[in-house]
Amino acid sequence: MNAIRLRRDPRAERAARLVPGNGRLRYDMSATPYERMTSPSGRLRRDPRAERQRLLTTGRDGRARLVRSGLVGQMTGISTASARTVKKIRVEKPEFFIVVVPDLPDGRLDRADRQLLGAARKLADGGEGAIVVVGAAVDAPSLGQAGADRILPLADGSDPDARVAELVAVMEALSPRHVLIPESEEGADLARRLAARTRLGLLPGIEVLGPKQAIRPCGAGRQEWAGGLAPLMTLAPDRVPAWQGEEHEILPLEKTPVPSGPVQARMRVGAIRSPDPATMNLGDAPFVVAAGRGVTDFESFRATVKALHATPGASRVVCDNGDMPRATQVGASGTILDALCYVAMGIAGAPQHLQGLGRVEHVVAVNTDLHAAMVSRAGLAIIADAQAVMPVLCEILAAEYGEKRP
Amino acid sequence: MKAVILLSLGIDPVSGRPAPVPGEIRAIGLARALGATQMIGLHAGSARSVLAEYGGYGLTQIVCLKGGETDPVQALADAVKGNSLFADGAPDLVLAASRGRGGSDMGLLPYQLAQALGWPIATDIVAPLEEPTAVGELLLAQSRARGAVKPVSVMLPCVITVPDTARCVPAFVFALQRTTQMDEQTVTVHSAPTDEGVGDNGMLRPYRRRPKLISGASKDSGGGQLMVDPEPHEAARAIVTHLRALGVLPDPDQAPEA
Ligand SMILES: Cc1cc2nc3c(=O)[nH]c(=O)nc-3n(C[C@H](O)[C@H](O)[C@H](O)COP(=O)(O)OP(=O)(O)OC[C@H]3O[C@@H](n4cnc5c(N)ncnc54)[C@H](O)[C@@H]3O)c2cc1C
Repeated sequence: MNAIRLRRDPRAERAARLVPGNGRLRYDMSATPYERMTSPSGRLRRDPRAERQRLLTTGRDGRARLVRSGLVGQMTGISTASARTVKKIRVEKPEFFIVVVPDLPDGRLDRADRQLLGAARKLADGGEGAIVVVGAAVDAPSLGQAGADRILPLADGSDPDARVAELVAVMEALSPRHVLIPESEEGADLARRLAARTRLGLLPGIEVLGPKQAIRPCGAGRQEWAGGLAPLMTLAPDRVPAWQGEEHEILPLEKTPVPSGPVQARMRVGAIRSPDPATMNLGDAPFVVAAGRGVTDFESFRATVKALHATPGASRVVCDNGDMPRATQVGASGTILDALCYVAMGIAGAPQHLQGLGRVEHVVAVNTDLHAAMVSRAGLAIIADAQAVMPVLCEILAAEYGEKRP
Repeated sequence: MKAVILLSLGIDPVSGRPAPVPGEIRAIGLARALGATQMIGLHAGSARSVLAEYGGYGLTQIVCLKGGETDPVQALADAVKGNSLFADGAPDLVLAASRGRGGSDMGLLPYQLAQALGWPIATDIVAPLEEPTAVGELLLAQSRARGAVKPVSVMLPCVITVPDTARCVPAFVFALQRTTQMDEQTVTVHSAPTDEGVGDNGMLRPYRRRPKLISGASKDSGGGQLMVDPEPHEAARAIVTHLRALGVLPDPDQAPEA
């Protein structure tokens, strides 16, 4: 052992940590001042942190792991390789096909479409079945996550009969065990056209679907029919959950349908026309802005409704006072709304009024009373004077949209 | 224009008693709005007193095809094509309800009838559209969700279905119901092969209400964002941002919809 003990020189250590630069003095306290740290007795000091850092790798499931066997490089190699291969289910040699015709509004799968694919998976996984999605082009990953196995793009025409002819060609090529269609506006029409054309059995509006049994309401909703599955089925919304399992891999389709010849065009369907919100029926309106007794400046209210491009509504008190027409009354003795969004300006939210908000999903309330019932129903509640908020809202909208909107 | 309106034996969903089907009442109103000068009600089955109620809505001549209930599509197609309904030629329009009420309620029969007649079918029609069209064509408004419509142009003769939500409800006049003339014709149909797949393997039982899946949107209904006494500008900004997040307000740079 060394008899002379080295003495630490704190000043020198500190000076070695100085970060060069002008202005204020800065020291990097995490830096090691010398190449190797020696203890006062002259022995090398271990740096446990650095050692640990060297042993640390990311394990297979992404958690930190210490590898002490010296195989660090190999271990990380394995972990990265396994992280990259996400397991996808492949249906290679299907025994049968299930054709699914989703609506694809705006070219994306919507809620009903996902539920439809969930139902199709139920039927396909009863055996070794593959799901063929027939529709306009959609990105494959989202379809795979929803549970589809194959994609067959379909031209989008304005003639429903041409669409049916294309589907008939698909059905002839694949001879699917079942064809599933949503019981939506377009889907319901398509399914019935297909059933009339092919003379295959149809079960519309199914509420319960299992591998062997389907249940659908009939007899004015007082009875239900329970029985075996049919070749053509349409599924009522919000009845069967969407596919939650592993992603499926989209493989190329084994058979391609022979394109059908042109159909004699007897019918044309034009582009959808949305109605003028200012005059449309209140019960159909998607976006309603309503005034209660908290609104006194009706000029400003009308301007706000116009700027928001919404349909005007009112509470009963306002209609009774003659400030708004009776047709705009929302509530038990007025109109029951089917809106997506409802903006309530100075409405307390009496039970008779709230009844009118039956199916409204999103409510915005402007009220001076923090404890009003409408405020507790609202997704965004603003405790302020409606007369102050409305003109500013108009200004903001006018500034952003300019003259682009009427 | 000559119109045939298909009538069925409906029931009231609440009481279960025989009642006219709402879509068929509206079909009478739509036929009027389309300018039909002659209308005949057609029912595959024997005459029932409840059918006379349609007379109160303006359909004062009703033909019942007794024996047609075994294969209604065939019986109705024969009657429409057979030129026996109107004195001066074949009908131009066949109107029906989009869905029945009280039977299997599938809404399939109008489609099958259109297929059997070889006519086009326009569905969920709520009103005529007042726009110029080619001769021999009809321009109709097809109802879609939230009050939107799609223009449908269809060649005559055609089948049209009318939903329960159409607003063309004719007024009920009891005196007209009393003058309604109901004719019963006996027809024989060669029972065509029934559709494959759906056999009589099912059973009917009282409806059981089952819970629906909870929609994702309802989770925000309780407790949202709250702003107490904000500046008016801040409040208005928050409203605009919120409405934009919900998708009811378009983004400013985007072209506005019509
Ligand atoms: C049989 C029956 C049927 C009915 N049917 C209906 C119906 O169909 N529809 C309907 O609406 N009502 C109906 N009512 C009436 C209902 O009970 C309420 O009286 C009514 O809805 C209250 O309207 P309101 O919220 O506008 O007014 P109030 O209850 O007076 O509320 C005004 C609200 O505005 C707020 N306020 C005040 N000043 C301001 C301000 N400057 N800025 C912002 N907020 C402010 C207040 O805090 C208060 O919350 C019915 C009643 C009965 C008995």
